[in-house]
Parts: sequence; C-alpha cells; structure tokens
Amino acid sequence: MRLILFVIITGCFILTLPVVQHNNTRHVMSLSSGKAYAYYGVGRRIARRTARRTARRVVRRHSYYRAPAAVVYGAPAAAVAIGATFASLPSGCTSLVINGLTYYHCGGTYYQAAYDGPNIVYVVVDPPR
Amino acid sequence: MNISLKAGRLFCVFFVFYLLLPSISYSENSDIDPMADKILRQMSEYLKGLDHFIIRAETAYETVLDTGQKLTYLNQVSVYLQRPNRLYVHRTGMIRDQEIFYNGKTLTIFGRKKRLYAIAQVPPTLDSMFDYAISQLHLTAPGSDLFYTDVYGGLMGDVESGMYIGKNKVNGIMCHHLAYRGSEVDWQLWVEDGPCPIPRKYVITTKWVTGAPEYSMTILDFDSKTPIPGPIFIFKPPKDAKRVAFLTPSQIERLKKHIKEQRK
Repeated sequence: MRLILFVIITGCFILTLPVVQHNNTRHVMSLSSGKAYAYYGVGRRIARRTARRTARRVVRRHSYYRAPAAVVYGAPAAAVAIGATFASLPSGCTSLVINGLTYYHCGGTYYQAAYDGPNIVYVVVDPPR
Repeated sequence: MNISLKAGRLFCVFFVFYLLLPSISYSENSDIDPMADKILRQMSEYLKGLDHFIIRAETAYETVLDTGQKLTYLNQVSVYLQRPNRLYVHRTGMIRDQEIFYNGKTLTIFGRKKRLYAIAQVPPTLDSMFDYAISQLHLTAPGSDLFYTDVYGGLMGDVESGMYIGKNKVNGIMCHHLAYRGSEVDWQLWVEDGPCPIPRKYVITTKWVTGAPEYSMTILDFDSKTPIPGPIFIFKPPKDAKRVAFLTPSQIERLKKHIKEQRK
C-alpha cells in the first residue's frame, strides 16, 4: 500500500516537473529577451564604470542624453522621426539586405542597427532605394 | 618694556600660526592615509611594469529602476592585455555575450548573440584608445581604470581623501583594503598583500545618484606569465555576422535634439 502511494506521489511529481521547469524557463526567457532588456534601456539610473576624472565629464554628458530614455529609448510609438533611436524593435519586423546593408522594416518604418557603446540600438532611417 | 614684551609674545604667536597655516590647509586638501597611498603606488608601479596579463573577473553592474528597485547585472569577463597596444575582452552575461578586439589600429565589438559587429578606427596606444572609446564610442571596458599605464595618476585625479581600512581576504587571498572618496564617486580597492600587489577587487559607488548604484569587479585570476597568442587580438568576421556602424557624433547630436523636442 505504502509502495503504491509512493509510486503515485513520485509519478505525480515527475509529471509536474517538466511543466514547472517549462514555466520557469519561459519566465526567464521573457525577462532576458523582453522585460529585462527594456529595463536595461529605459528609465534607469546607472552606476559609473570608471573613477577617472577624465571620464567624468563624458559620462555625465552621455547620461544627459540617456536619462530621459523613457521617451526615446523605449518602444517606438506610431509615428517616428528619422534619426530616432530605440533600444528594441517593435514587433512584426522583417529584415532585408539592400546593397549589402541590413534594414529592419516594421510597419512602414525602416531601421538600421548600430552600436551605442556596448548596446545595440535601432536608428530610424530613410527608406532604402 | 612690559608692552614690548607683550607685543613680542603676540607676534610670536601669530608668527607660529602663520607658519602652521600652509601645512594645515595642505593636510586638509590631501587627506590621504600614507599607507593607502603607498599601497596604491605599489600596485600602480607593479602593473606598469607588466608587459602583458590575462585576467578572469566577475563584474556586477547595478541599475536603479524608476520604482526604486535595484537590479544587479552580473558578467563574466576575460581580459587579454598586451602592451603597448593589444587588447581582447570577452564578457558574457544574461544580456550580452560580447567580444572586443583592439589591434593597435582598429577596435571591433562583436555581439555573439545578435551576430552584429562594428569596427572603428582608434588611436594607436591602449591609454589613448580607452579615452577615445569612452568619449567617442560611448564604450567603457570593464574596470579600464586599472588597465591604463599610470593607474595611480588616473585614479588620484578626483580624490578628496583616502583611507587604509585594513587587511581582508578576497576569494581566499589576503588583501589590503583601501577606500578613497572623490567628488562624484567613491571607490574601494583590495590589493593583494605580498610580492605581487595586484588588484583583487574594485568597487565604484556613484554616490549622488539616488540609490547609489555600484559597479564592482572581482578579479578571480590574474596571470602575467602565460604568453598571449597573437591571433587572439585579430577579429575574423564569422560568415553569419553582419557589420553595423557605431553611432556617429552627429547621430548622437540628433538624438539629443530629438529628446529636447520630445521634452517640450
């Protein structure tokens, strides 16, 4: 009797295990690909990586254009100006290569990837010809 | 007679005070513990004397969200530095898996997750390259403060006080704990106690930012003996990798303007 109970309980446990694991993974995945990355670019105060005086002015200047990031560095709004820069692309983009350059086409707007320091950003560009 | 004696005494008192004055103000300006100064200099001299080194480190980078919640992003970092002008950095973490190559002429950054790389023409020495990367490319190598030729000179540029805290272990290695205070950031350094005064831990506190986020680097492995293979500094783009640009200064200006417009 005890053995049967043990088998049933263990069986149940084993059956639930993959589900739990799957949920965990999904949670982590969404955090790394979506939320966390957005956090990384949006509405945050960051630590400096240098104590050198020479770097201070520079970091301050950059934090100036990074600080109001909630507006520009977030997800793109409906109408976007050429040169606007975003931390991520909106959903439903297709990537295409024209004259060796890679563009992302999302709902009528064209983007190009670029490095802003160590971060990939997406800059709105003129439609390629 | 009596009056001139009093005047003489008064003069003596003022004279002594006058003599003391510069030394008092001097000690206020450079409020640095001689022991802390000595160890920092020793470390700087030791690092300056190394032809090359390989570092394995763990970095922690704090971010304070608008909600006030603090997140710590951890990265594992390998640094291969060859003087005067070679550098390879590989950092991995939740968000990035990134390589940086510097060969004395160009700097390449390659994101292994998104398979995108960018190449920039940069100055021909490590020191000038770091300055350029920070100011023009918006790129700070992890803990680059410790990779300049003159670490002491660079770190002491903005220091108000320096303390020697005592001895403590970092990952089982006995270290001297130093704590320096600057106008905008405070920083702490743990320097190995022994014949090789190498940095073992480095913490920078951005103190006037709400939540006082910190950046820290813990050096787990420091190797200045194993020679570095030359090809490691040369980037060969994988077939599936695509080249993109660094944001140009004009794009950054554009971005600033755009933010200003959105603010109105």
